[in-house]
Order: sequence, then structure tokens, then C-alpha cells
Amino acid sequence: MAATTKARPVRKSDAKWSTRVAMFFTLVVAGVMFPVTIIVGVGMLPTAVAFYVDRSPQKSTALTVGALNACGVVPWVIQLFQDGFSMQHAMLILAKSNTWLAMYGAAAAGWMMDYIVPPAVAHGMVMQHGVRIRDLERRQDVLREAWGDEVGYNAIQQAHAANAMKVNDLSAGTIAGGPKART
Amino acid sequence: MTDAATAVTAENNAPPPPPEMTPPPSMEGAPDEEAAVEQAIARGVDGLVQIGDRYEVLTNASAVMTDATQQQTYLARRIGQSQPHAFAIVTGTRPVARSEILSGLRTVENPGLLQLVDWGVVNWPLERRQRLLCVFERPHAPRLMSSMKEHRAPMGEDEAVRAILDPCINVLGDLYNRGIFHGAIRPTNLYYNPGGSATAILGQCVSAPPSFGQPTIIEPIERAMAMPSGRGPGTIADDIYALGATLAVLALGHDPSQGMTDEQFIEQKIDRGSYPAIIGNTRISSGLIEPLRGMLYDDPRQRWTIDDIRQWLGGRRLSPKQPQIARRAQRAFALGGQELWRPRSVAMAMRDNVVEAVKVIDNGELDRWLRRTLGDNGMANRVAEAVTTASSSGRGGSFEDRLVARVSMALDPAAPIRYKGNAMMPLGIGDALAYAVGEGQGPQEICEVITGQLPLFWINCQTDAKPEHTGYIKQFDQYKTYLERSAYGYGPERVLYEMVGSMPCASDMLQEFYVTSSYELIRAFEVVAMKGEQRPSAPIDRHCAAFIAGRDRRVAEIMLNALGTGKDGDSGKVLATLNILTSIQRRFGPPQLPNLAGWFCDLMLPVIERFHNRNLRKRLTEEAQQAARKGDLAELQALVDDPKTIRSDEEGFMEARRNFVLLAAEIARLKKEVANRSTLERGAGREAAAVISAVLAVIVIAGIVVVRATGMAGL
Repeated sequence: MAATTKARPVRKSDAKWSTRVAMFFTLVVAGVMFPVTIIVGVGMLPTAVAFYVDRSPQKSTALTVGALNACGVVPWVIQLFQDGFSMQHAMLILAKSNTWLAMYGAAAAGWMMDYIVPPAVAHGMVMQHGVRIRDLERRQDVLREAWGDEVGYNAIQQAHAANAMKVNDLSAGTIAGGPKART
Repeated sequence: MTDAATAVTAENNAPPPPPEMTPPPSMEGAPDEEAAVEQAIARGVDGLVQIGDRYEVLTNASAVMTDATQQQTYLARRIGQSQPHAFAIVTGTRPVARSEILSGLRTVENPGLLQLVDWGVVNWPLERRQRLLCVFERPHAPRLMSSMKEHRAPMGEDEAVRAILDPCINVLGDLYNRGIFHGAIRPTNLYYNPGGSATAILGQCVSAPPSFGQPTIIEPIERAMAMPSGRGPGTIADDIYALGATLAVLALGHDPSQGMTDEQFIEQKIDRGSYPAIIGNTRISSGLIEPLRGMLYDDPRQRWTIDDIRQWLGGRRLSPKQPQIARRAQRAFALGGQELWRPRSVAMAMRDNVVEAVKVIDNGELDRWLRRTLGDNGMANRVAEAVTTASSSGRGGSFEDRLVARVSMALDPAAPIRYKGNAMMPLGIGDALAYAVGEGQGPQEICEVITGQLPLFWINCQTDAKPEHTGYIKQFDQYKTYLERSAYGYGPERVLYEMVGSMPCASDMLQEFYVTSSYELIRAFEVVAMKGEQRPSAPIDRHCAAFIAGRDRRVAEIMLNALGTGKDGDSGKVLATLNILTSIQRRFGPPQLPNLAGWFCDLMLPVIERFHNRNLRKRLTEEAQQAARKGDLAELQALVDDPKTIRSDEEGFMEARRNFVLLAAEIARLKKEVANRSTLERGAGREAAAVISAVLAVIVIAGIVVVRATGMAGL
């Protein structure tokens, strides 16, 4: 795929054209399904806010909030299709307080998720890193014991150089388990 | 102690003095040497030192038996005999004995020569060190003259010819056939009982370098100009001259050079010729005049040969030779306050007046004197060449001494090389160097003679080119190369051992030994290794390395180069030392050298530390100790110098080091992440939240869809 992309890079004019086509079809669908558009547009407002607030390139906050926000919107869209696909029914649904509670409550749950989960995950990772560092240091001690302190001479500088070169294949499998017994 | 000796001792009731109280023999002029010998016999034979299984030396019975300076002589006897019919000379390294001629000399069985009967290196108890002892048959006559200062009745023609000349010529013939230069023919080295019917016996010549103890009067002019240690090997012509001079002194009854300095007498020889200078106006037996003129002729090419003398002894009378005096200038050349009439005298005077000599060379005064006054353009051209070649290497360093040395050679090509107060024949440089080292003087000045290429210039100056000169040029070029390298196995020490074949190893650590070969060297090391803490820091020092390089051609140059100039304790040097000694042990044994191997074990720490792996180090240390107990250096060497083990250790270390760096990199990365917790939250934390949220959403929406779908279906 990447090779194909590389072989035929999308031209700027092509991208603009496809975006225009997509927007055109979206507008057409939104126009045709206007009652759904009303409910989704109103119900997913917290996600839109999150999208604009989240400055990270991954837009992970928008994704977190948006996923749960969608949980609050989908039941009403289904109900719209069940009760009759019209603007009247759409307005009736929006007139209910339950609707707002469900849609914005779910969005709030998303926001809560975005506040609680990252610190918890970071804490877990710090704990895990600590264990891993101790294990690696023990393996360094084994090497020092077998080969003397000179085995680590200038190793810190070289390690920083290796990190600078983004040596990302430093998994346990690439590092030998310890010194070979030489007898 | 023999019965006879015991009886004498008991009669005198005088216990023999302890060895350290034994009076040293006086050098010359003992009042009654024969009586001293009798007293020595009477002192008894408390201490006996055996030479092989043939002779034993009576260490309590020292007596003056030769005029050899700096050597002691002791009575000796064949094992099993009671009477000491022999005596031993205790030779040493100051001066170096001529051990290279011993084998040849042993085969000379001539009643006119003091018979060498045995020799050997023994542990000499009086000095607690090894010495080379040479045993000679004890002559039945006293020394003819105990000192050159002695005055005696002039010897008549008949006695001189029958008792001195005839037997000595026979001896010289025998020595010449064996290629041996005697170099010690002088009145004080002749054993003869005047008035007796026996003939004279020529004394020993092994205890010192050639002509070392010769008085100035006895040596030809050129050799007399050289310092005693630098006269080098001579020719049969030089021996004949010495015999002629000895006969002249005996015919005169005294040494005519008494009251004059060596330089004054040499100057007299130059001015008048040797025969007139020695005999002067004294009347000697007319029959001696002809042979003396022939034997004392200053030009060695014109000097009588052995055949000439034998013909004369056979009754054939040759035309008497007239002294050939060097050309005298019309006007004297002034140098150092002296008026000099001949180039040879000028050359001799230059040695002591270097500054003034440089002045007269630079201002052209010498050149003008040679061309205008002496009229010798050839010599003037040689002097000009000497100036040019001396200047070719710049005017720095000892330029003035080099210049004067070269100009002296140009003025007097036959004379020795004169440099910084030293005077030596080219082939005497080695002996001079050995003497300087033995006396604790620095070898620097003598080595400068070689580095300044003075011997090559000396050879170039010779008017009669000899075939051997080509070989000398090559040799001196090689010596210069040795001196230019400072590594172990080179330098002045290497030149010393290359030039003096009989020089024992002069290493400080081997002062107690007399080591003349690799065979003896490795055995001496084994004894030195027994000293424990008192032994030196390394078995091979500069002298030992040069000695091995000079004596043992099978020790490869590459092994010596590995010694480098590294300091003691350097692993490369220890290994190179071990390699060399292993090579020697393989060829000369002995199979077991436990002390030397143990010494290497102690030195092995830096070698073992070349290996990185700690377990390997421990194992090698243990195995080295086991090998040391066996005394096999080869096993020790194979253990610590195995290329396979070295390569394996190096590869293992590189791999371990690579792993260590990878571990360090991983640790650094993890620590960096731990330090930047907010990054973790923003990155992995939020991603985790998004994933959880998405999964929840999928489940919830799927549930809602299912519930609504089942509701619509009326379930």
C-alpha cells in the first residue's frame, strides 16, 4: 500500500477535489437525512468541543469523548427510525430531557475517562519500568562480574548515542542473557 | 691437604691464613718470586677448587707467576698428584680474557711456550663468584725480568739467539699456523734461567686483550700510539717486532725508554726509526744488529718474516736494512707549543690540542704547510677530504673532535683512531669498549667513533687496501645501525658483544656468573631466580638482550624486537622475555627450570590481566602455577600466549561490551520515561483511555442495537 502511495503520490488538486466530493455527498446525505442530522449534530456537540480543545495530533481526547458520546446519541437515532423518520419526531425527541441527559451524560463519562485513565496508566507503566530497570541492571552486574568494570567503560555515552540513533529494537530478545562461560 | 703440605705446616706451627687474609699478589717487581712460590706451597692446601675432573687449584697458595696485571695466580696440581706442577690464572672481565684462543692454544705443544693444560669456569670461593681459570704448567725457570725497570747484565749474542730468538720463533711459527696472535711477548713474560742450558719459555697471552700489557717500547709505533685496551688483534709482524724489541732490551740489559714518557719515546721512534731509537748509541753484539734491524723495521711490509729469521738462524746472512724515516718538512709546524717536523707527529700532537688543531685546519695553515713546506699534495688532498667529510654531517655535536680525528687519520693513516682523548685501532674498538664498561666508564665516547663513521674513514685512508677491509666496512655499518637503535638488543651493548667474542655477559644481575653462551645464561637465570625478593625486576635487561642477540643467532630478531623499549612489568616485554627463554630452554635445556618458571609466574600478572574474563584469569593463574612447578617454560608460554584463547577472550569481551551498551541504552530510555511522567500520561495514557472508550462504545452500541432489534421483533 505504502509502495503504491509512494509510487503515485496524491496531488494537491486531487485531494481538494476528493474532499469536495466527500463534502458534497455528506451534505447531500445530511440533507436527505435531515432529522438524523439534527439529533446527531446537537447530541455530538461535546465531541466537537473535545475535537477542537484536543491539541494532540492523535486527537485521543476527542476519540475518548466521542466514543462514549456516540453511545448516548445512537439510541435516539434508532428511536427516530422506529417512531417515524420526520422532523416532527426529531423535535419531539430533542424536547425530552432524558435525551439531553443521556447524550451529554455519556459525553461527560467520556471526559471523566479522559481525566482518570491516563494517570492510572502512567502510574502502572512507571511501576513496570522500575521492575525492568532493576532486571537490566542485574544483568549489567553479571557482565561486570564476569568481564570486569572495563566492560562498562564509556557505556553511558555510547548508550546515549544509541538512544539518539533511536535504537528501538532493545527488547529482551536482542540482548544476550549474560556472559558466556569461558573456561 | 696433602701429607707433604701437612708436614710443612705442622713444622712451622703456623696455621694457613684464612682466604680473605691471603695477600694479593703484587704486580711487578716481586723481590724473590721463587721464594714466594715455595712459601705458597708451604701454606698448605686448605681450599681446593676443581676444574673439571682434571686439575685442582690451591686457593690458599697464591703466588706471582706472571706479569699479568689485575689477575691473580694460584698454584694448581693435577688431581691425584701431591706437588703443584701447574698454576692457574684467575681471569675476569677487567680486562676480558681471550677465551676465543684457548682451544687453539691448547693444541700448541711447544717447549718454548708456557703450556696451557686446562681451563674452565669455576665457582671461585675467594670472590664468591664464577671465574674463568686457565691452568698452565708451572715453568721450571723464573721470569727473566720481574719488571721493565730492572737492570740486568746485557745478554750476549749466543745466549740471545740460542735461548730466546730460536725457541720464540718456533713458537711464533706454531701460533701463526693456528692463526693466533700472541700479543704478549716482552722481557717480563719470558721464563728463563740466565746461564742455564735450557731455553726460554714464552709466557701466557690469554688473560688480557692483545697487547694490553705491552710497554710502549715493545709495540710498533702505530700500536704503541693506541691505548692499551684499544690495540686490537695484531699480526705476526707485530709479534716479530715485539720479539725484536724484547731481544733489544735484553741485549741492552735495561729498558732504554726509562725516564721518558710514552709520547716522548714514540716521538723518538718516529724521528729516528725504531732500531736507532731503542738501541741508540749503545754497543751491542754485532751479530744481533742485523736481525734486530730486520725485526724492528717500522714498515711491517718490509719487516723480517719468520722465514727471514729462520734463514738467518740457518746461517744465511741478509743485507742489513736501514731505517726508513718518514719525510721531514723543511720548516717545522707549530702546534701546542711544539715544533713538529713530520705529519705523523702533527697527527699525534693534535689529540691533545684539539682547539688549536681546529684553528690551524680552518685557517688553512695546515694545508699550506703540507703543500708548500712538505710538498705532499696527496696528503694535503686527503686532509681536505677529511675536512669535507667531517663537515658533511653538520658542525653540531662533537664536530671539532670528529674533524681532528679525521684529519689525524689523513695525516697518519696507519695510526689508531684518535677521538676525545682515546686512541684505538679499528679492530680494537671492541676491546676498548669492553674495558670501558668493565671500569664503569661510559661507552658514549667510544660509540661516537662508530656513529661518526671514523673506522670507515680510517679504512679509506689506508694506502694498501686489504681484502678484509671490505668485510670491516660492512661490519662497522652494521654496528652503526645497532647504535642508532635504542631498543633492547641494540645499542652499545650489542656492539660490545658483536665485537668482543669472548666477552661474558656483563649484566648487573649476572655479576656472580661468567656467562659466555645461552646455555650458561639460562642456568644462571635459574640461580638468580632463587633469590626471591632480591632478584631484579625482570630476567632480561639491556645487556642480557644484547648478549643473546650477539651470541645466539637462533633467537629470532622478531623476538628481540618484541622486547621493545617497554618498561619492566609490561605484558609485551614479559611475554617476549618468556618467548626468548623458552626458545633457549628448548635447545639447551635443562628440561626443568622451576625457579625461573616461578619467577615468571610472579611477573605474569600483567600478562594474565590481558585477558578480560575473570574466570579465565583465575584458571590461567592456577594452571600457570602448576606449569611453573614443572619448570617447563614452553608449557607456561603455551598457556598465556595461545592465540585461540586470546581471540576467544577478545571476542567474548566485545560481545559482552556490546550487550552492556544495549542494556545501558535500554535503562537510560526507561529512566527517561519514568522521569517524564506527564509524557507517559499524554501519550500511552490517553491512547489507553481512547481504546477503553472505543471498546466500551462498541459494546454499548451493539447492546442497544440488539435490544432495540429484539424489541421490534416482539421478543
